[in-house]
Amino acid sequence: MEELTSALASSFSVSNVPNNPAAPHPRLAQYKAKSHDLAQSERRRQMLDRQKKQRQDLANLARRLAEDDWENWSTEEEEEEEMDYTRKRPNLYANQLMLSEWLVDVPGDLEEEWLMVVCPVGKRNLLVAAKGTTKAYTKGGFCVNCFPSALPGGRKRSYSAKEYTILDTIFCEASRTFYVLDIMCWKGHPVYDSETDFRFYWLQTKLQEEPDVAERSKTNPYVFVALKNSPCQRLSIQQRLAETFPYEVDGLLFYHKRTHYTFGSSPLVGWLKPHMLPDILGIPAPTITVVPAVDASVMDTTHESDEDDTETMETGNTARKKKGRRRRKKGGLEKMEAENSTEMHSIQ
Amino acid sequence: MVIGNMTTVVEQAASKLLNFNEKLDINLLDNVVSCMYTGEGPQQQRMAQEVLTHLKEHPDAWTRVDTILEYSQNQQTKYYALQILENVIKTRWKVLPRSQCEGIKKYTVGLIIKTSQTQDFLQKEKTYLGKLNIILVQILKHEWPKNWPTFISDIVGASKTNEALCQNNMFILKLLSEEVFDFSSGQMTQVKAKHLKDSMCNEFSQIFQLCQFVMDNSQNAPLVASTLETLLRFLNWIPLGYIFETKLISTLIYKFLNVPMFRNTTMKCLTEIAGVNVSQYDDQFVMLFTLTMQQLKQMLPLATNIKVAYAQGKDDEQNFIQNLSLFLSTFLKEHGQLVEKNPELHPILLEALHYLVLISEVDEIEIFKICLEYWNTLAADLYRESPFSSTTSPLLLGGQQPEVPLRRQLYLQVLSKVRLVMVCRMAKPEEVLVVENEQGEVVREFMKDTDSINLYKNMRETLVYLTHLDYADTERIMTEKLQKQVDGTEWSWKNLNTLCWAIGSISGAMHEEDEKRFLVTVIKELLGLCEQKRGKDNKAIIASNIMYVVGQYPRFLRAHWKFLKTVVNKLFEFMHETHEGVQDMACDTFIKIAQKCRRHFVQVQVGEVMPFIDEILNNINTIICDLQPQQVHTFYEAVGYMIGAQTDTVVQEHLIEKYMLLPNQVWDGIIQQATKNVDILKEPEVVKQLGSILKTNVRACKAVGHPFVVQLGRIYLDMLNVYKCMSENISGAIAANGEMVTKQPLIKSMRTVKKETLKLISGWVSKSTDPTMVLENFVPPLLDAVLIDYQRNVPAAREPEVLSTMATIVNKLEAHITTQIPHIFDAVFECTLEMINKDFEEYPDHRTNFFLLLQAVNTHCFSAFLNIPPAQFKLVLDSIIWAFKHTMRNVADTGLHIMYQLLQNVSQEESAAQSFYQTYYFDILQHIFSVVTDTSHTAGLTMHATILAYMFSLVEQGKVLVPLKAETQASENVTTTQGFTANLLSQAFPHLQTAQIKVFVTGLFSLNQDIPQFKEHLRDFLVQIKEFAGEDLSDLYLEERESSLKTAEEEKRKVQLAVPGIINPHDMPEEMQD
Repeated sequence: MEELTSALASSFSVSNVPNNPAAPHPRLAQYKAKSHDLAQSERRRQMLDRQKKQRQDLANLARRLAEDDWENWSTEEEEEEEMDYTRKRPNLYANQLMLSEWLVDVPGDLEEEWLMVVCPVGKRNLLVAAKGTTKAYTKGGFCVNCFPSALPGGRKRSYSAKEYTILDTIFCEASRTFYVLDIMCWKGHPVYDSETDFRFYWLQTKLQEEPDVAERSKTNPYVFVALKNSPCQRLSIQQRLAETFPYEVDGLLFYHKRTHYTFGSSPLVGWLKPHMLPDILGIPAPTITVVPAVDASVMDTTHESDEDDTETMETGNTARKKKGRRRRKKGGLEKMEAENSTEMHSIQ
Repeated sequence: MVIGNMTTVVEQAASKLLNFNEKLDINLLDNVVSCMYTGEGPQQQRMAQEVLTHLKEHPDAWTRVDTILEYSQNQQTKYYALQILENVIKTRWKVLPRSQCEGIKKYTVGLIIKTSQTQDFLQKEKTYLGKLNIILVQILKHEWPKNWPTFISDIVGASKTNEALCQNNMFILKLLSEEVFDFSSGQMTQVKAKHLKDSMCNEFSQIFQLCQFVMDNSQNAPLVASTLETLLRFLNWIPLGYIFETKLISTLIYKFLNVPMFRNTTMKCLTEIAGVNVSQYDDQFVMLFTLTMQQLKQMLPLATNIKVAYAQGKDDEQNFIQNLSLFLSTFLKEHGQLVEKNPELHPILLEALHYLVLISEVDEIEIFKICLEYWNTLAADLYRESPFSSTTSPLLLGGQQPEVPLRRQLYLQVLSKVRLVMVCRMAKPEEVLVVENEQGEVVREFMKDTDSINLYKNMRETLVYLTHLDYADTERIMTEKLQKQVDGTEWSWKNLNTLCWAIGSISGAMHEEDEKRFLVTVIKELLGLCEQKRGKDNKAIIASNIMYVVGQYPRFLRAHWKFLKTVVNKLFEFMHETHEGVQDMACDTFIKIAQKCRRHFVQVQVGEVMPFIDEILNNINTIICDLQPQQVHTFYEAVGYMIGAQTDTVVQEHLIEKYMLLPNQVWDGIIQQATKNVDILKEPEVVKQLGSILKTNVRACKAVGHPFVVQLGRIYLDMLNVYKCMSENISGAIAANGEMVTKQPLIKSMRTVKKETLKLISGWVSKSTDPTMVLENFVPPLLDAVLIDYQRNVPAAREPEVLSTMATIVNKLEAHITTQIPHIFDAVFECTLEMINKDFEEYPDHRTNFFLLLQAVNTHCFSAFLNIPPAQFKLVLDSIIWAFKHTMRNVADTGLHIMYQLLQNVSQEESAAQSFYQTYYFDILQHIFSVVTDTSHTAGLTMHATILAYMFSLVEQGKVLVPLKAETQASENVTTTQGFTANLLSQAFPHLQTAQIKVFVTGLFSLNQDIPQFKEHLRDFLVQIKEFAGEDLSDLYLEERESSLKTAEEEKRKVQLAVPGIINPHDMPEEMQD
């Protein structure tokens, strides 16, 4: 029985993603996988090598995603592993996100060549703003939402054929906020084959150029917040984690500065839960302070209860129990700008 | 202009054709007929059709038939003339003068004889002759035997003159047999059918001799073929002596079975004979079997690969295989024991089974079903005889092994082959349909009643019996098949699926230890296979199969916690997998396991620090973060089952709070904003979020059940406010922009919010366990918010679910809610009735639910009806009558059930009952008769019969104490009712004769304790109203019917006498009174 359980736990998968973050961390897992994969560090090197040689037509891809135009599109190039192609048209919005592996082998150049992003709990969405609407897709390419947004191309009034935006986001339902992790295309200019450094810089500046995206309104019902990135020196990590967060923290993403935006799981993006820091990086488990999500567009002045404003989450192997206490939002809502004509938007 | 012209032309044609004083213009008629078939455009065709219909319905139309048949050049016109003839025979025969009847009869017979003179004619005029034959049979149904006693000898005699004629006569006899024996129900009265059957049996010897003569002597193949076809129809009713005491069986087998042209019909005849179940002809049955098998081995050598032969065969050959499967399975099922008893016959039996196994492999599902039915019976039989396995588990050492029963020994080898067939062909256990619901969302539905699922059920049952009979053999077969998947020799997605469905199907059939050993092997092999295969598609299929098998064995999972936990964690992993279908599979398996192993997730398991449910709730955000909304809802339902299994209320409440944390966060946020600015509830994103949260609540509630009250209570009042708000928005939008606005996405999502709110409430109420609490805490705000809103709304904005929710509440709270019924009715009754009383179609959901609500109230809160004002009560009764007049089947059924229940309820209320009868009894009677005699309501006949029988017995048993009619006495109620009914019917059907109605009304009383007979009696009456009876009623055998009704009446009395007190002492016969 033990052997069977172990086989089921460790070597049973569909996608064969090395160090899959959906499974337990290989170093901390109860059942050790017998790995046929090369070491993570080796795959990182190979990937960066390959990146130098390869030039894909990513401008074309961005346009197709924006216009949902897939005529004469062949998907063969995107997967290297052999597979029997199904007869059905594959979902073309699937596998458009760059996904992480567990950070297993700590890179020697972590401090110099990597950036860290502290991720909120939420749903990972591909966001495509084009042709006057904004659509959110799951990792699997299922369109979960369709709404107007102030992103270029994302609402009717700002719509022009050339203006479209593609973002990698985490959607936080309770605060109705899209936290933007990465940027793939802005106003029709793709940045897939730019390095992380540049993309992150671009993300911060471009979002600032459109202040409307941070304001909740009828034509921008969800707000967009660029996630901060920080360097990976030991001290910087600790400092960053000592800050207060407006969201419940899910984990930490480590991006290699030289990687382009690639599709699917990449060894150049690493994932850790805060409680794993001591085991993997030798950094003490942080005490994360959360100032619960406050609606970014409005601040409520009245504090109606004496309940704690902040909740802290002990992380670490020992204390992972979460408080069951209901978190009450302190948000309020200002009067909306009265807009007489209610726009009707199709749901999906 | 053109149309105008056309109209005049057609009108002229019509008036000319319908003028019976003028000579028929045959060319004009031919033109109109061809216009109908080949006219230009639908307009022209329709007008031609109208003229022809008009002409056909004219009472004198039949007088034109002979002219048409003689002079028309158009085959279609002739056919049309025959339709006129058929019509008159069916409906007006009895009112035609006798001389005309004779004329038509002679004319038809003459035509038939003329047209069937040669083989050529038979071929060329096939359709025309066919119709003539049908007409003759229609005439026979009136004339034979009374007015045409010599018919049988006539036709038999005529047959001997000419082979072509004989062939057509065979056809006529076949038709007659079908009309009398197969399709008589509802077409002729019961007595009439019986008379015809008797006549046919009595005169059968002549027919039989004719058949035998043809079979023995004719060299004319088409004639022989028709004779066999005709014989086949006879076999299910002829006196058995003709079959078993003549040389029929051996003639069939020796002379015809091996002739390709005859073998199919012959085989069907033999099957028909094999299906006869009597005991005095055992030897003949054995002979039938052995001779057939003998012939069969020559025609179809035992070594034939039937599967291949079938696949390459022509239609005729394929039919033969099907007929053979029917013969073998029928014979073995009915008479297998005769063969089993005699050891000498065992080799033949095994050969027959061998055929059946080979046929079971044929790729044709209908044939497989035939074989399956037999294998199922056999396996079940052998199992019941001795419910022990033939081989035993090595784990059961030392125990006394029961001997394998002798009978089973005979079948051992065959059973093993059948096991293999079942494993190789196992059907799909569940079917998922992806559909779009009315809110435009794509949803997955599990289908319950498809062909494939029924097949699965039967196969599963068979394989379970077979496994009980020898589980080691089942295990061996499955393991070998699995090996072939692994080594690649049989690898394919279809084969793997089939095998895993088979493996999953026998869950629980083995001893637990054997099952464990078997499963461990299976899962290990499958895991190996998954690792070995390349490509996500392959891996996804194997993964689904592993999870399917695992999910089928909850006993195994419950016994091995660590394994169970690993499976669930693996499912969580798969919930992040983007490959198509994997997330759905993971969610479906998760909910299946959650339901079967729920308790194990809320207990602290050995080696764990907390119950697994806590781990799930701690990580719920991460687990569901890549799922689609639908899948998230499934996930919540699954977790709900686990929480529902927690018996400690305090712990459970904590679990629920944590479980609903995320949806509640979003909910609270929206509500808080809405309290500041209610306009936020008009924003599409917000409305969508609310809909989704409510759906989560609905699914959670469905699984948690009554304890969900803590969550429901938390959001209840806000939810009702949101409901009102949505409803006002919708109403406003419809008022401003018309009903079209309901198609808009925003309005659709607002309706979703309303519907989900109602679904949540009715879902919870139906699971609640504390009626008082529901009544005191949940009902009042609900009535205030939802009902008032319903009444105030424009009709298009009223949700039909409001009515079904009320029905659910009434059904659940029963008498507790009686006091609230007037309140509910005030709000929903009249305004809904207004919506549905214009026609029978509009607002179908409101319609259905309205009557369901009425039914609920009538069943549980009847006393509420007694307390409403008479005018309102009349409205209720009228709407019940309205309900059963619907042609929408479900509505009419509900209406009838309410009516019946209402009558019963009323009879319990001494005082109210009498005035009720006085006011409504005849009214109701009349309305019920109006649906009984309406052909679009035949489906409700059983309920009609039930209600009528009940009403008549009320009067008969003296339950009605007031006079039903002014100026009569209560003691005369029976006569009054009979008079009323007779009068009603004779007015509605003036063409019926008084004697017919009298017998019918008598039956309504004498049969009212026997619903099936009462129903047949109504059916007889329905047959009679279809035709004009004329003066001569002998054909209806009214006297005979009367006397049998009298017997029934006496029987009924006898039964009643047996129950002390049931008969009024004054009505008792003298000898029983001391």
